[in-house]
Parts: sequence; C-alpha cells; structure tokens
Amino acid sequence: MPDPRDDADAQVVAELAELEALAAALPEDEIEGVPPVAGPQNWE
Amino acid sequence: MATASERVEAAIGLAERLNPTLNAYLHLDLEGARAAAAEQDAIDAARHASGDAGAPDPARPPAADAGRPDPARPLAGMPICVKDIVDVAGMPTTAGAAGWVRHPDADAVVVERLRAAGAIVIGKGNTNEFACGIDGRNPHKGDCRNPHDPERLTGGSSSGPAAAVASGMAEAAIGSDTSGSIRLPAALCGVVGIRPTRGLVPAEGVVPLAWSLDAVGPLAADVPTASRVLDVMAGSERPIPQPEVTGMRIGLATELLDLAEEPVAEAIGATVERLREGGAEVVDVALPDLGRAAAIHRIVQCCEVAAAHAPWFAAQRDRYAPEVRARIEPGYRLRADLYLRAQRHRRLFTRAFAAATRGLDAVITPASPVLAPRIADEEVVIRGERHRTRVALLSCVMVFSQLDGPAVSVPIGLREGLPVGLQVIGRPHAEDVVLRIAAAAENWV
Repeated sequence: MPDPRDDADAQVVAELAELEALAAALPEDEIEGVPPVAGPQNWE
Repeated sequence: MATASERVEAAIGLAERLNPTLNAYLHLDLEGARAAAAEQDAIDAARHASGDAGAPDPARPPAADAGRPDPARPLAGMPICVKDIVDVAGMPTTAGAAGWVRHPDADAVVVERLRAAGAIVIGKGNTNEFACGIDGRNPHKGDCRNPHDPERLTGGSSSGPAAAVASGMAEAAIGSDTSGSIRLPAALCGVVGIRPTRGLVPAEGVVPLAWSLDAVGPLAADVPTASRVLDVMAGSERPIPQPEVTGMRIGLATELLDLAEEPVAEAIGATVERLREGGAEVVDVALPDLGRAAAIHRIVQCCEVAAAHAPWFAAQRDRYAPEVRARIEPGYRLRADLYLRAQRHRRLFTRAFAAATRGLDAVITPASPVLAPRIADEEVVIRGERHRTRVALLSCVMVFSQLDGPAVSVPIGLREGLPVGLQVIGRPHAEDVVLRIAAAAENWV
C-alpha cells in the first residue's frame, strides 16, 4: 500500500481536514466581542 | 583588529573549504565581497589620514588599525550571510524553491541598512523551500548540514544563515522567523538568534510567509554582535546588553522543560542555577493551553501563506515539495470565518499569556526539546516516546510567535558534542530585557 505521505493530493486533503477540525474545536462563545489580531499587539 | 579584507578573506576561505559539505550558501558573490572589503579598507585608511580614527598605532599598518569605531559604519567590514528569501541587488532570490526566482535590482530595506553600516554580503543562505519548514532540509537545493555534525539537521528555515555563522563563513546573518525559523536553527547550530518584536525590523524586499507572524532578525556568534546587528536592522541604538540580571524575576516554563530530552533539560537546569547565582529569581510558571495555541498558529499560517503564494501558486503547484504544498494549498479552501476565529483566539492566547506571566520580566524555555536530530530521522525519541521530528522541533518555539514580542535563542553549552539553546521570551519591545538575560545565560560553543 502506498504511503499517503508520498501522495501530494492526499496530504493536502488530510491537512485540510485536520485544520478544519482544529478550527471547529476553537470555542465560539469565548470570542464574543473579541476582535481578531491585526498588526503587532499590545499585551492588554 | 583585522582589516575588512582580512575578515572577508577569512570568511571566504572557510566558505570555499566548508560550503561544499555544509551547503549553507546557495549563491556566493566573492568578487562583490572583495570589492566591498577593499572599499571599506580605503574608508578606514582615509579616516586615519584625516585623524578621525584617533591617534594611529605605529605598530600596525594603517588599514589594520581600527582606531576609534566609525559611528557612521558600526558594522564596518563584517561579512554576512543573507537568507535567500531576502533581496540583495545583483543576486538571485530563489527562496530555496524549485523554479521560482526573482532578480532584484534593489536591496531589501534590511540589507540596505546593513550595507550602509559597513556590513559585506558574502552570499545568500540556504532555506527550507519558501521558508516553509523547520528542519533545514531542501529537496531542490540540497539539505543544509550542521557544522557540529554534517549528518545532523541544522534546523530551519534559516538553515544557511545559522550554519554559516556557526562555521565562521559569516560573522552574522539575516534570517526570518514565522514559527521559530531563526530560533530553532540558532539552537541546533549553537549561535544566537533574535526574533525581534514583530514590525521592529522592516520586511520590505523579503518574500513573505505569513504576514501576521513573520519577523526578520539577526543571527550571530554572540549576544553583543547580534544586538549590534539588530540595532542597525531596526534603525535604533541601544547600549550593548550586559550580563546583568540582578533583581529580575524570570519564569521557567516547566511544561516545556518536561518535554525535553535529558541532556537538554540538564543544560537548562545548569543555566537556571547560573541565572540565580547572578541575582535573578527564577520561578516555575504554568503557561496557557499550548495545544490550542498550536492549532491557532497552524490555521493562521496556512491561510496567510496561501494568500502570499496566490500570485504564482497555480503555475508552480506541481513544483512544490509535497509536504510544503500540503501546508499551503488547504489555505485556499479554509473558510474566512475560521481564519478570523483563529485570529480572535490568538488575542485570547496573548491575554492569557500576559496574565500567566504578570510580574515576570521574561519566560525561559528550551529552544528545542532535542539535540540536533540526524538528517535521515523522521522521528525522534524523547524520554521513551516517539515524536515526528517536525512536531518536536516546533514544540518549543512555534506558538510564541503569536505574542509579537521578542524571543531569543542563546547557546548555553554542548551536550554529547551538540549545542543546546535557551529561549528567552519577552514583552513587545522588551529587547533590552531579553538580551540582558541572554547575555547572562550565554555559554559560547
């Protein structure tokens, strides 16, 4: 069986699925009213 | 003090001898470097003749007598390596890629500043493809090899700059750091690497990776030299950092120390004792959820690198190494709201980090949990557990790029013949503080 790491398309699909899962696991309720980072931040 | 020509010839001699093995430079400009050195020597000779350099030393030839430093050229005669994502007029910028190249007719701002200060470009340093990688391997240009053991990784993506400085092929170098690409190779090669406060050093003329994470910074053999180069890069002036930590309160990130293999942890422990003997209070600190921070980082970086590569991605798609393409292409398919969700969580991580470290001057961690792995090893074993090499190399550096403050890797000694790096993390614009701690911790290798 070919190693999926040798298949570029399979790697892209796997990485996308992993990133979508990671993003879905970031709770939305915690960021209510929090703006995204834009530019160098101050440590509020 | 050696002349500019002597310093440049020393670097060139080592490059001619070592670069065929180490592959630190992708492009050398020996003729240009020699011409610049001769020009610097002429400037020095003129300063002596005019009396600007102070009283000459009769025991030395005029060009070899540095006299008073030239305030207009604080890096006079310093041979440097420039990472090959940074434009140098008259040299190709390949970004370590298979077919992508540009031929700039102007220097990047940071190169312009260093050259104006008297630094002399020897050549362009190897890099992971488009700076997208942490190991220093490059299937298109050849892997960069560690000067301490050519069978081992340099780390990356500023692999060539770190190897060039570690081997004496340059006295300093320009690197870039998105996920640890200055700090990690500095650690594995035993040199100092500074990721400055993001935005402190201009990035014009540098191939971007991820705009909200990228930082351009120096690598050098020691803290004072790295600090001087940073000052020129940033257009600032600060005193040479002294190894003075009396009264400082420093947090030790025990979670990351526990992830490190024994020789690294032992070296960090010895350095903590030295910092305490120097008058610092070192206390354990628990950091916010680093697993979540890693997820945030990966999402942000993937979306931003996809945007940066959009102008050429379709034409180059099949020329990327598969693992590099896999870190870029998902960014064209991830929804914008997920990118923004990650950037909003990044702000929460920064707040949580600031709260966890309130009252501390800086946080210290290993820069790498392992000594330089062998090039062929896809996995490393730490305390009996197997880890993918890439994941291990990113584990102590990646997430801290999100904080936008300075982070420095400083060599603290050799273990098993290989360098160990200590990472010092500070608040935005607290370069003075982190460099003082780095100077106190520094143990030349």
